[in-house]
Amino acid sequence: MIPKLFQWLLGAGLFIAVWLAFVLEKVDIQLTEIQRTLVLISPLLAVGIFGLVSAVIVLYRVSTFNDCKEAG
Amino acid sequence: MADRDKYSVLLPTYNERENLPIIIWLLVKYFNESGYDYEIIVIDDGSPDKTLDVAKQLQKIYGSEKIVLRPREKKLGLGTAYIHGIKHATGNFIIIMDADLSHHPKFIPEFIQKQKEGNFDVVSGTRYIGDGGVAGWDFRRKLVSRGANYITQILLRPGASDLTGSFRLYKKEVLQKLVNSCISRGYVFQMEMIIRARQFGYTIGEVPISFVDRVYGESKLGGSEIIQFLKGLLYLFATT
Repeated sequence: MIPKLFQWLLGAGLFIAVWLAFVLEKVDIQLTEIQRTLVLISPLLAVGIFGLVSAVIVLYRVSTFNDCKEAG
Repeated sequence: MADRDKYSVLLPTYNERENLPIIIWLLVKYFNESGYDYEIIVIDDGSPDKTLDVAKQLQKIYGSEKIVLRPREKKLGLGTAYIHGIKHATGNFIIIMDADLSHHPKFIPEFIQKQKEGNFDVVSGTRYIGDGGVAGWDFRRKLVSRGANYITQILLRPGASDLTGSFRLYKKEVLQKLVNSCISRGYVFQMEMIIRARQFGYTIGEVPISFVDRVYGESKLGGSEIIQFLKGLLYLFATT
């Protein structure tokens, strides 16, 4: 079983490889200006969105964290 | 077959002379009410407050079949306490819990029920799902706990909601194998137990529990604890 770290590195490596292919214009797809910009910043976007979604999830879980009575 | 099950409760203690009579009384009460066979193994690490003397008195009250004493000379790790405790356990199931009343014995019958339901190798008490929860935690504590758990879930995908909890039921041979394969300490030790359990293909059931924090504000969440946790998390992330 591949350790999680290497699973992540593999996934990240694949993502970066595809991204680089687009950035270095190795891919034969026509993109509009907007699309190209999006592709260019997609790694940053991915991290940013992940961070935002994570923050929302964690804060939600904190606010719904059950407070138990001490009695017992 | 069910009648032949016996549950050994491991209680590592350090300076718990006041809590020990209470937790033993609660354990006896809930076990007697539920009818399950049990023993309580007190593993005292040379407590300066004479916890062991209190344990001996409790042994006189409840009998040496129910209260088993396996003390040690000084404060050693939790992992070795479990190993030490298992050696003398006569049950086929082991329950581990805190002796400071942060875990309530009333959940034990629920653990046992859950185990029987799915013949689980491990039943883990969780604070994070169902009506599990905590008492006495402020916002900061909850944030750190949920945040750490979230990161752990993302990185390790463990298949259990609460990795750092220490209120669990194990089949004896499962606990034996897991403890011998873990190398971490502190919070990470409990995490590693669950991760290894998954690695070995053991089944894990969960029971919501409430955790009443007794020592928060002292040493439970200092900077060094957090660093230890992160180091341990990284170790598990890179090796499992």
